[in-house]
Parts: sequence; structure tokens; C-alpha cells
Amino acid sequence: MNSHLSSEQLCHWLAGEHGPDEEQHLGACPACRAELCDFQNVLAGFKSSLEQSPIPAVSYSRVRQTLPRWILATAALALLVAAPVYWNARQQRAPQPAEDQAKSDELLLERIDASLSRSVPSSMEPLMQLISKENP
Amino acid sequence: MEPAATARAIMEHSASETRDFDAVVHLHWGRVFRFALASLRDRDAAEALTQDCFLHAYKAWTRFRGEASIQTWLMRIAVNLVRDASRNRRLQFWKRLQSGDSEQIGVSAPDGRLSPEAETLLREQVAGIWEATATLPERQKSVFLLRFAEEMTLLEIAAATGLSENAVKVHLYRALRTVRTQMGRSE
Repeated sequence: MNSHLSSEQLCHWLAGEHGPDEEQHLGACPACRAELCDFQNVLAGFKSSLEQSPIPAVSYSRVRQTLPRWILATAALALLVAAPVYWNARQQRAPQPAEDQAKSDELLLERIDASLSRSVPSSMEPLMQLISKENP
Repeated sequence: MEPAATARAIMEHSASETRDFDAVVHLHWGRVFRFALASLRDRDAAEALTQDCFLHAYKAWTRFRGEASIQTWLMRIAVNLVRDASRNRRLQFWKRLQSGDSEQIGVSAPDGRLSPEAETLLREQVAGIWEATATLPERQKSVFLLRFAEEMTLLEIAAATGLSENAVKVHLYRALRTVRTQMGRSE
């Protein structure tokens, strides 16, 4: 191999794929060795720049915030499901206003009938009972 | 074993596991955070992802059999969480807004013994890598970061990503080619 290693060959080398030809060339070519070394230095600088970023302390604050949200979401869902069921049950238990009115009207009519069918007014009934006891 | 003794043994075992897990958290917290930060380019999102990662790990702690190293196992969880987070449209929106912004991660030279000119050049080149990684597809980015930011071996990356070793090499090669092209080193 007479010419220098291509950028693709250097990438293959860094990716862990290289044959004896590339190895031999790198051993004999200072320019290609320098290019590879220079790129490796930049990659080391990349790693170093990441290591210089401050690392936050160990914490589970986000996890603690997440758990109540789950609980709240579950409670809200349960409320959404339970509310219509409860409302329906309550509606079924409550007496229908129209039926109430009809029953009330019926009772009133019965009382009026009873009152009209009396032979004497109700206020006179005790007197009539006394008279009937004296004259059996 | 008496019931009381059994209960005590369970509690002692549980306390021991909790202590073990606590040690794991303190040992690997920074590494997981750095990977999340490099992947998401957002400190808040990275911190939240780190917490999620250890929460997932804690839930699965009793099932961890040590088939992979703890680091590989945690990185596998982190890689999956990063993939899920990257699918989030809102995060994609913020990432688009932040593309090219290197404020989230300080771009600096590896040591202070370089000449000012060399340090400036290196700083520019490192910034170029950050910009290039932001454009990489998710899998290529994960593989690139695990290799060059976390210095994991190809086999460890394969275990963390669920890819074959050959697939890792292919993704790594493509990522490196993109990075070099964007840095103007594709000649």
C-alpha cells in the first residue's frame, strides 16, 4: 500500500475493523500515524469536555413528583367513572315527581268523596252518636 | 427456621440489598448522567432520565443476575430510555431549537498544557464533534457516545444496545465518517 490511508480507512480502523495492510501502513507511515493520533486527541477532548460538565447530586425529586401525579391521575379517572354510576343510582332511587303528584291528587279526591258521602257534617258526628245511643 | 427469624433474615437481606444498590447508584450516577446529557443535550432532561434509569434498575435489582456487568446493564436501561425520550415530539422540538448550542455542555480542552493557539483549535474541533453528533441517527449516536465518551469496548456496547458486534462496528464507522466529514477531515 503506497498511498496514504483514506478517511474511510481511518474510520474503519477506529471502528475496530482493520486488516494487516492498514496495520502495516500505519507502522510505516508517520503522516497517517499523525493524522490518526490527531483525530484520537480530538476524540479525547470530546470526552474530556463532557467530563467537565457538573454532575447533579443523587436525587429522586422527579420520581417523588411523579408518584403523586400517578395517584392523582388514578383518582381523577376513578371519579370520572364513579360519578355517572352514582348519579344514575341516585336518580333511580328518587321518586318520580309526576307519580307523586298523581298519588296526592288521588288521595285528595278520596277524602272529598268521603266527606261528600257523609250524612251529617263531621262537626255534628259526636252529637249524632250521642242521639243514637239514647235512642237505640 | 422460626417465623421471626425468617422475617429478620428477610429484613437483613433486604437492607443489605438496599445498601448494595445505594453503592451502585453512587458509583454509576455520573456516568449515566453524562451519557444522558451527551445524548439529549439538555441538563434537566438528562437528570430526569438518570433518575428514571435508577428507578428502573431498582425495580429490577432483585432480578439482576450479573450476566452482564452492572455498568453494561445500567447503560442498556439508559440507552432504551434515551431512545424513548428521543421519540418524544416535544423533546425533538426543543432539540431542534438547541441545535448548535453548546451552552449545555462546556466545550474545553482536555488539559491546560496546550498553547493558546492549539487549545483554540482543539476547542473548535471538539465543538465540531458536538455539532456532528447532534445530527447523527439515534443508534449511531448511542454507539459513538458509548465508545468515545464512555470508552466501552465493542462487546460491552453490543450488550448495552442489543446489537451484534458487527452491527456496532458498522454504526460506529458511519458515525465516525459523518463526524469527520462535518469536521472537514473527509479527504
